[in-house]
Amino acid sequence: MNLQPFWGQLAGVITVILMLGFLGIWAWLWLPQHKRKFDQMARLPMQDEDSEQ
Amino acid sequence: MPTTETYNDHVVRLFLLAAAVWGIVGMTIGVYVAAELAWPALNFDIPWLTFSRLRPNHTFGVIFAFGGSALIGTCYYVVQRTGHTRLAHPRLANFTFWGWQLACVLAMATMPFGITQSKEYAEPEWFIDILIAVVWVSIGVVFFSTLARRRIRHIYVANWYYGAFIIAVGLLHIINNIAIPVSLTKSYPVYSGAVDAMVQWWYGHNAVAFFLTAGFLGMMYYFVPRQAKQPLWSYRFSIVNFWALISIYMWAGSHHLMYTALPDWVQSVGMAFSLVLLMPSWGSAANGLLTFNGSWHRLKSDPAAKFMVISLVFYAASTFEGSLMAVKTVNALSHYTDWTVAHVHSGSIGWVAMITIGSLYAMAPRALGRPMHSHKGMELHFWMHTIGLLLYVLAMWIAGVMQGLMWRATNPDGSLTYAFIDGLIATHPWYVIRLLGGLLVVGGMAVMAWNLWHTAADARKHLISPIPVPIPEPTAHQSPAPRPAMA
Repeated sequence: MNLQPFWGQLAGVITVILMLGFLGIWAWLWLPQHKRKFDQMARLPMQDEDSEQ
Repeated sequence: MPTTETYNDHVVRLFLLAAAVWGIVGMTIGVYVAAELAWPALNFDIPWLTFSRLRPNHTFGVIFAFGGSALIGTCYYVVQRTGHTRLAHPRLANFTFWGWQLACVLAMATMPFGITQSKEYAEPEWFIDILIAVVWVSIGVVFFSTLARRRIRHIYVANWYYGAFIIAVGLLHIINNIAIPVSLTKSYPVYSGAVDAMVQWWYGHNAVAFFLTAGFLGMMYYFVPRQAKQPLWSYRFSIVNFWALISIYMWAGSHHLMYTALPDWVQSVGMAFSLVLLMPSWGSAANGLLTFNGSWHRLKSDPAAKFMVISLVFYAASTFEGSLMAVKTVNALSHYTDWTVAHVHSGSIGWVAMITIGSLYAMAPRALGRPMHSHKGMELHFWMHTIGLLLYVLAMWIAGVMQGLMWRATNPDGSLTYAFIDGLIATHPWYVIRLLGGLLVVGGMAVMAWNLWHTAADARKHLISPIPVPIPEPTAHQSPAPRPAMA
């Protein structure tokens, strides 16, 4: 049985799943409910200075 | 129950000191081998002084001993600060310091005497590889245990990069070094032929990806906003770049083996992924640089910030160059020439060393309990390093392109225009300029070591007090509640 077409199809499906996963990460990150948390996180390194001086 | 908990900066200070010492050792060897390329008689016909024996000592010394010590030290500093918690397993953390130093000393002491696997960037023999694997797993245990006891629920992005660095480097190191020992000082790899080459460059390239990029990006994502005194330009973008970078980098290694016995399609895959890789690389560089928006004035007075900005510029430049050199037609010109040496040093002296030095200058006053001893010393270091870097990379860019063009030049009858020796003679002055650049860089490192030594005066006398961890008061019905303070 020639499995070549099967592996080709599988590679295509995996590629599409990975691309959708990547787009999903974008979508998840830009959900409005995460904005406050991420804004806080962006400031986290500056706390080192504040707490120690 | 104790009410205060303090950060464990003792082990951080040890790694900071080790980074300063190894930086000087590794770069001094680099300067010596650079001098040997200009004047080969400097090997004095002594086997362990030859270029081939000393070159791995330079690369191991700067990448793993200097870079590794700086990475582990900053990683321990950052994971505590971004999780508001003390480092887990203090004894194991101390073991990772002494174990890493022992592995570096053993590697550096054996390679010049021909005890080597002859695998680039993985030269140490099997018994040192086992020690490295044990230490590396211990670093992972300390890091991930500390993450597990964090008091901030969200894992800050720098820790994702440090985590990827620890997991991927462990995986790469173990798989690439599977070998059958035949004596204490000799082993044979289980791979052979083109498979050996592919495994080696899967390792070699991803050592660049996860050791020299992901780890140092962890450093960048913490210390750049901190030094710029500005929030990270886009936290969301940093996460997009993280997933893109770690997904793509793994597939680009075959670009090191263009026009070799590797199957042609594998070479093309490497080229394609190398081109896509430009996007997350420039994404992180842009994120770091844009974080300085609004505080560019700090560059006038803050040498640490200057180191960071130039490092990001060189990160963008060298990743663009890397993608370009992975294109087969460009690679046909650049491969085996000093252009490759220029590329790797614009990445290492420009990006890696400068983000490290900037981060060490940012971290040292906190870890050592007082401001840096000499501001002028930091300024001097910045200018020595930057001028040295420019001399180095410009000389090697010119030499490399010249070599590529000379090697491929043909006469109308098809014969080669130049003999190989013509290329060497034409390269000689550029090797001397490169040596001058290297001398400036290592001189700058000596200035940094002097400065750190004086800054550490109080720490040496045990006069500094540990820094308390900010432990938030639990709010009503908070779940999970913040962990109580540890002794």
